Amino acid sequence: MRRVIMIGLMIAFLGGCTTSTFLIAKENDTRAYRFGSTSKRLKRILCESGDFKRVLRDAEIPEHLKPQFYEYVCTESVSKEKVVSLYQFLTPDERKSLKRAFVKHGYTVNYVPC
Amino acid sequence: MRYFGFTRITVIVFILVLPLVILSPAVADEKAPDFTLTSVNGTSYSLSKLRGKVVVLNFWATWCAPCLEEMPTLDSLYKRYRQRGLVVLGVSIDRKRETVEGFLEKNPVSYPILLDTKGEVFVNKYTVSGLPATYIIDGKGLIVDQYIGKRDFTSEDFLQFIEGLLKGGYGR
Repeated sequence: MRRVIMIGLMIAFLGGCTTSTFLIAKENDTRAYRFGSTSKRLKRILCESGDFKRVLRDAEIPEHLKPQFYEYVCTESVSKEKVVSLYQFLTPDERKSLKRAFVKHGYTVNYVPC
Repeated sequence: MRYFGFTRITVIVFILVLPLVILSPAVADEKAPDFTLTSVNGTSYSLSKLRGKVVVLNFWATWCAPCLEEMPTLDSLYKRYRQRGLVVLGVSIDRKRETVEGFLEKNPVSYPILLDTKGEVFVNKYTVSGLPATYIIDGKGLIVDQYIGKRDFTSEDFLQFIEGLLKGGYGR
């Protein structure tokens, strides 16, 4: 039990003190990814499937940010730093809306508080 | 025995990682991206026109609690050194001018508050990774330090740093 608590504290400490985004996992997928990760597998799941376009369509975030999010997540200009910055630019309500849009389209979301 | 070993390892990891998490890494001097933004009262500010001055560039939002907590210390800093040429610029990323105006009516500050409602400077120029974010720019237009998170801009350490910059050196 103590070991579990120690591991949990370590994860919370390391994860909670970094500026970042949040974790996403496609339903029935055993792996979670940080939104903005440059993982090729995530790109396949999120981008090639068309999921991210649908997520952005439904997210209530400023329209001019949507093509930027798409560019830095799904194109050759992929950039974790830009995705983090775009996410940090969102208001708390806009962030919630983005996460709800992910959930709507079959993803689970774990928010890592900072 | 195994149990005790795991606990020891966990403690060691904490001790090794803690400094990395807490300390803001100093940024190697890089040129501060130029920008032009308008203040809430309609005045235009260009960073390039402030060459020769020490600039404290602070990104904030009315919905960011740590941002609001550090603002009084920024205001104190500005009042202390404005006569010596220090420039403090607060860049709000709120969506609407009215929101910022409403906040400032109840919480006035002496330094200019600029509006970056579309994120052109926050995202495209500075790629800011958190709020609040503060960049210290020397007279040559170089970023000599940057911080993510709340700071006390009236701490002795920071005041000494600013004094050094105002005198023309880096002060550290």
